[in-house]
Amino acid sequence: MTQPNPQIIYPWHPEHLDNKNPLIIEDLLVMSRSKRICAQKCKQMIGDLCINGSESRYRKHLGGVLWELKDRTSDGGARVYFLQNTLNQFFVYHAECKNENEATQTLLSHGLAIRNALAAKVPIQPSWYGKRKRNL
Amino acid sequence: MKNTLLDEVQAMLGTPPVDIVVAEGSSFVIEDFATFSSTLDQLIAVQTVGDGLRQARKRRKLTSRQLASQLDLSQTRIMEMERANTELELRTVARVAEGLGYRVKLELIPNDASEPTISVTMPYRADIVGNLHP
Repeated sequence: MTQPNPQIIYPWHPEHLDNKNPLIIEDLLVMSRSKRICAQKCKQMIGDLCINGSESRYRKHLGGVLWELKDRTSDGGARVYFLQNTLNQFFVYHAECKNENEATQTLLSHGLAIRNALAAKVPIQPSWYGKRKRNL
Repeated sequence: MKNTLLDEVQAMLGTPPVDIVVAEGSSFVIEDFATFSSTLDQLIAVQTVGDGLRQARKRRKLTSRQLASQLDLSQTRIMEMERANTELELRTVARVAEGLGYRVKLELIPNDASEPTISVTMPYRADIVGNLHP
């Protein structure tokens, strides 16, 4: 059976739907201030996930439902965290740049909050998202 | 609640893959990469301009309130510009820069490195007024 094309979803934290941007955008905005190369790498890895899905060469399993995209840059280790399901849907929720070989657990815990929201049919994006042009 | 999730993360690391469950009837927006990439680039651009304006204001040792009063803009407008919380109009950026004693230089850098960069510097408003009323 052919796998459907990868679908990428950018969630908010379910308890903070009033924020302006999805979690991943907020992370990359902060990262782009001081670690631009790492931010670019994160963006590139997300692009790769969009094309290759589960076959992405950056994809690594952290445990249970927790996955990451990971690569090294001159700024430090670029890491993008996501959840996935068998429908080839990827919920990309956080990114960070760090030298330690360990994901920040608080960021991963937001993935579990998103997992819980999805299972309980709680929104993970504000109602306006996708319906009108984002106010830049 | 947060501690519970952190505990769960710790217990989950290194365990075999598990699929997430999406409740029937859930809805979410699936965004293509081009839209995501373009949105991010635009937000970074606005943020970069805002950072520059804040840096210039701090260099002049002005508060956002003082600058707003000097330019007859609201303090909220200045703060929103600096925090990249608003759409930026080039003329407003130029006006704020002028108020801080700077001019705005715009560089259009081609993707094709063999083409020349186009660089324009926006004049002071005083210069424009001077041209209109010599």
